[in-house]
Amino acid sequence: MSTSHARLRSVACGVALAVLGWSSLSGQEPAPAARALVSEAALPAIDRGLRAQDIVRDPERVPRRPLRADALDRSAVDGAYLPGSVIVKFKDGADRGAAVSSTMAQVAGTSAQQPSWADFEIVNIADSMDPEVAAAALRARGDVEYAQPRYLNHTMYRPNDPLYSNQWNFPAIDMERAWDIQPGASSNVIVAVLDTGVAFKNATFRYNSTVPVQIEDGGPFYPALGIVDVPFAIAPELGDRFVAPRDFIWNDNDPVDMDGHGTHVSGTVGQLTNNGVGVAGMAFNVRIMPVKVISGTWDDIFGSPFAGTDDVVARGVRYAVDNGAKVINMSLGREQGGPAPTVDDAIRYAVQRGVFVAIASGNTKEEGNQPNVLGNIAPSLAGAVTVGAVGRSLEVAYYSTTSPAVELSAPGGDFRQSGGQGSGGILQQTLDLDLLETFNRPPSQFGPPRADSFAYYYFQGTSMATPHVSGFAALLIQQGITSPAAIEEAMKKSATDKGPPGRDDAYGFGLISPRAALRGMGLAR
Amino acid sequence: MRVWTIRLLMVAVLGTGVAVPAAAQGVDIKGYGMVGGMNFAASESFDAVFGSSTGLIFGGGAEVGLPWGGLYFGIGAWRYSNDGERVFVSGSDVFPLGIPLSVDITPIEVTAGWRFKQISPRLVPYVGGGWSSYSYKETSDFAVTGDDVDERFNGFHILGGVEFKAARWLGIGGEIVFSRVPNALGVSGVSEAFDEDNLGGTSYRLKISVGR
Repeated sequence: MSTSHARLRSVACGVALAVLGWSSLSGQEPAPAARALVSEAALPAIDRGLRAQDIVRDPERVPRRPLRADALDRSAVDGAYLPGSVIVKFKDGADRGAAVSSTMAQVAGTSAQQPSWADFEIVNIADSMDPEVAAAALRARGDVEYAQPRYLNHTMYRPNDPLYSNQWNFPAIDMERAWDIQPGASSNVIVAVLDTGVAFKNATFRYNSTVPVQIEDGGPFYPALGIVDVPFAIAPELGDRFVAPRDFIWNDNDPVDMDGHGTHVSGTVGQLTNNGVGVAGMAFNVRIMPVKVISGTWDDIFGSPFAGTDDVVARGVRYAVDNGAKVINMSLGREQGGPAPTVDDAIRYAVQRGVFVAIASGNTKEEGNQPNVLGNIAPSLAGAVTVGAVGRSLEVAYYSTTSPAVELSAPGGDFRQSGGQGSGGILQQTLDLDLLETFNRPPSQFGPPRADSFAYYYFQGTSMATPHVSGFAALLIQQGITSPAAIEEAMKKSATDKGPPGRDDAYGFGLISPRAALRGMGLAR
Repeated sequence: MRVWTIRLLMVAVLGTGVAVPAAAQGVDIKGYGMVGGMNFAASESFDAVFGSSTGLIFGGGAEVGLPWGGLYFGIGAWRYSNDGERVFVSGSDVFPLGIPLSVDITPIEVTAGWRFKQISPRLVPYVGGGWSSYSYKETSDFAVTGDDVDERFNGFHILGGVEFKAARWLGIGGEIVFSRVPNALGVSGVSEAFDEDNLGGTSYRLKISVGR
């Protein structure tokens, strides 16, 4: 009797925690304390070198389906957007109090709140109401500038198995001679990496895994791990040069990476170079601002209070701008759902304040070729560019989405162009996926991740192409081209035209040519 | 730069040297040296790279006055040299990039003109015009094959001036020369951004001549 009571209490606690976690996901601040910093001291990072034989992750789903058992039966969640809330921006001059009240009444709203680093409201609605229907109804109001569901974004990469330690991507765009002109920019330039976080801190965090998870449709359920301590370390090849870190997924200032994507992207932007270790990065002297706006699988497993919705991404953009970033890298986005006025507004906010924005074009060429919605603004906004990917042969990568939004191309890797070899990808140091992604093992071997062990991996995707452009922008800023519009113009003018003459949907204006842009113009040539 | 300076001065001196014996046969020959300023027509391009579209020029040459009226022929050369930096131009905004750049322009001008000798024995106005050939050299740091420029462009010029005979063999004059050298610029670089293709401009020159 007492045993069954204890079990019942345990289940009830678990359910309560799960409901608390989910309600916060669909709602807004304040976030529950779903993780705790145990210690800021940690053992030194482990460098496991090039991982040629690790498990190959399948390309990430677009978008990733809900993982947690408590979310799987929520029919309102189809993976494209969160249920239970919408994003609303009222027009300037509207009486906010009255507008909010009448809006709430119209969509049976329960609460509304303007989060930090946002000029919009999150209006919570009934779970039974379709957010797209609610948003459409709100858009018809005279006092609403825009309304949209909280579409979910994801990273834009396709990891591949590594074979060779060879960064073909930098010679391919003549970086050696570009670095002669501008050796890696300086710490005056801050590049914000809006991503899954960055391995920027030595620390141990305590998480509480309360709900079983199912990683793949029809796959096994992995048990809840309970309370686990996860060790984190600074990526050795990124050094200690981070500024103003911010985590919008866990709503704190510790945007640690539990996925590996953000750390890999940061490596392409500014991996330590000429240090006799590992690999190189584009702008290896810049400071990096880790801004976590995308939840990785482990964040989902641990019940992060927020996910990578449009409002979270928009807040990340505004945060980066307000905290001194000169370049924002967005190797993220979504192909599903409607427009993203929230993010469009934030990107405009960035460019108007002198911040250059690079956005991945998407990886859907063979899956419908739907462009990244977040990149659609770029062609009409001087100072923001959408980036496609080329492989080792400098031909457009098989996955790189072709669309009118593509403005530039950069190396993103394509293992098909290297005969199926992993060396066709982009090599950078990131988290050791072998020790991180224990959810790729059988349930019996499922265990807490380690985020203090690192290795060199080939990744491919427009996610990998985009940080080449962000690093390039940092070099141009250091060289003296400081206006976002001028940076974009310099990149386009110097680009090596590929494909049909002039701009095209595969390569945009062409493959980036940093040396030509950095060298600028003489009188006659 | 020093070598070119010496060469141009030698032209002037040689011109002066041959002038004296030939004058006795009714043909006036004289050499001259000149210094002046050039306002380049590609003003926005020069301004972007050098911070100014005007520059100092110096040179020399020789002129032959034929015995029929005021007809004369001349040949001269001058030089403009300046150091600036490479830039990027976006609309009307110019972003200096801190990469040193040097330009050397050395035109050769062949002129035919007319001297109005009858107006005053000591103050001789003149007009002329002719063919110009501009040597243009542009070099900058971090250049590889094909990046630097070393080319010659042809154009024309017209001029007007007045010479004051300070002594029998010594003249001091001032002249204005308008030159046009189309299609020398504007294909690439800053000049393309500003849509300026003319390497010529307007120069103001102070000339000191020796001879008759």
